[in-house]
Amino acid sequence: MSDIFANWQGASKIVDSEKAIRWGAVYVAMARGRESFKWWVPMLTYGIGHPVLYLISIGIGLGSIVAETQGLVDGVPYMVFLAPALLMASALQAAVDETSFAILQGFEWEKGFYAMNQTSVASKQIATGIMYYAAFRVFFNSLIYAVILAMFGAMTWEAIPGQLAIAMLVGMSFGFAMLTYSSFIAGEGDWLVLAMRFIIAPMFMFSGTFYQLETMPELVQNLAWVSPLWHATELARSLSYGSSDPYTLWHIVILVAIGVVSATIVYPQFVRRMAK
Amino acid sequence: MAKPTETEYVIRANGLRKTYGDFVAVEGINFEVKRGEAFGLLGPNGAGKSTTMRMITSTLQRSGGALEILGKDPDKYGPEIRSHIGVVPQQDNLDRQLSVWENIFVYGRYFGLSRKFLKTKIEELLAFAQLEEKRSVKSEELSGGMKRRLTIARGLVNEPEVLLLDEPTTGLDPQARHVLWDRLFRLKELGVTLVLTTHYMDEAEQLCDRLIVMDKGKIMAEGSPAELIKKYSSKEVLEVRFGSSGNAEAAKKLEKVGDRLEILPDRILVYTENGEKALEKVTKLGLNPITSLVRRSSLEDVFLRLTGRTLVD
Repeated sequence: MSDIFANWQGASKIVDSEKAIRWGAVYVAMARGRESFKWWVPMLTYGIGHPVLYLISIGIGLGSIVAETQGLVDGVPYMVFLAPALLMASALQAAVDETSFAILQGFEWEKGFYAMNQTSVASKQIATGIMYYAAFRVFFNSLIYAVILAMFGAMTWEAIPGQLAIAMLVGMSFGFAMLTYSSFIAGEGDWLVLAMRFIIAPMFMFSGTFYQLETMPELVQNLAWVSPLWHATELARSLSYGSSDPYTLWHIVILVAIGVVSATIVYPQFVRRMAK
Repeated sequence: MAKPTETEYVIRANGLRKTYGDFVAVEGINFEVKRGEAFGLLGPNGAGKSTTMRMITSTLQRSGGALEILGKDPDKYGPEIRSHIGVVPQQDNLDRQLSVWENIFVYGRYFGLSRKFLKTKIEELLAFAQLEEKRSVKSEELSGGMKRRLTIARGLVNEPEVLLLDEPTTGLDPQARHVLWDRLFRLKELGVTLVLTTHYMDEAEQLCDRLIVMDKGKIMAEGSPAELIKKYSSKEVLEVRFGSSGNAEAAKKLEKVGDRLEILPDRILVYTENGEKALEKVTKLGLNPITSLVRRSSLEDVFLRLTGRTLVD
């Protein structure tokens, strides 16, 4: 029988501290992945089912009414107009999944972040590791989504790389924002539920996902500027079918700014909270 | 590794302080732990043991004073220090969704240990914790004692130079406690430094070469269990009962018996060098205790003397 005492060599022989410290965030991401892949069947089903159901119900169902009454939207068939927006919404949702309740679980419910922090993993690396895995999730989800959209003819195959780039941009941007928000929450997570209901759900409705924002009152149009999803959707539409958009640079700048500002808040917050 | 001939301190605390706003959790304490030693932190709830422990773990920043772990300042070299120590926290923080095997695997990966190494190591650790049969069971399905054993096994995955155990045996049954004591003793023989907090005085007496008793953030006493007993207690204790109504009356007559008396609601403790002789004196005084018991003085006597008998929540 293998015996722990007989084979004992000591940490100074078996642990390469430099290596452990260098790759800490990657180990965190891999641990997140292992946990999350316990749910790969529902994850994959949802990843495929969501676009398919939306495309059939809204794209084809609602699309046929739109075609009858209005013809083209933004110069293209409704499904083509809808596709980039759906893709961005799903990218944002994937990022939210990885940066909301999982954070509360790590800090509060299971205290897994403290377990990581007992090892050579530093507090900041936990935040980075979570974002690495969120990036993977956003990419993986968006890839499946985009392929399905292309199969339905709602998007060209050539458009996919550009769409993935914007999906990653909004995923990381809002992912960092959500991570920041979640990192301040204690207890049962009521504040997270509130954010889901009053920030994230309305964002899906008022970011021009299902209709052109120009049809809305000016107030709603102006509000869209604070919605990362709207910026991403605008970018994605202009890249997908070349919708005219005078604000391309602004969209990018704002999305990057949301991510950078959030990151400058969340890292010190992780250090503070872990050291409490 | 250290040369065994020279004394090497793996932990040095000097004026170590931790405050939370106005509340002082640890008030400028000094202590040192030698390599290969088993060192205990004792004290009632709220004494500052766990806070001290977390500062040693290099996960909690100190508010003042100096601290050196394995020759390094934890504020600057936290991850480096932690790569060489093992931590068993008071509250199990296992990953509930992952199996027993995966819990150790994932934790081992945080130290950068290779998959190949871990495959062998985990078998050893499962044997150590007697969890071989449970390897595929999700950790949330384990009993309290099994979770504790898994947490301890997990803390050994990087073969730590210093193993920090915060109340390691809380929730374990007597059998499991004794098995763990034996295993910890064997780790000590391998040169692993043990630092532990405990509420069980017998555990401290069994395991610790040296210990400090803390209360309200300060160190009340320091020494080996035997030294502390010698200094703060007598060799033996005679416990006599006269019924709750007779205790106070009897105590007046007992003042000259033994070195010191402690009058409790249900019994009187007579601290003395020779319990049997003290009992003879008691009988000669014409007192007839309902029950009497002579026992050796223990660390518990020292602990209660130093930290009082009032309950702390």
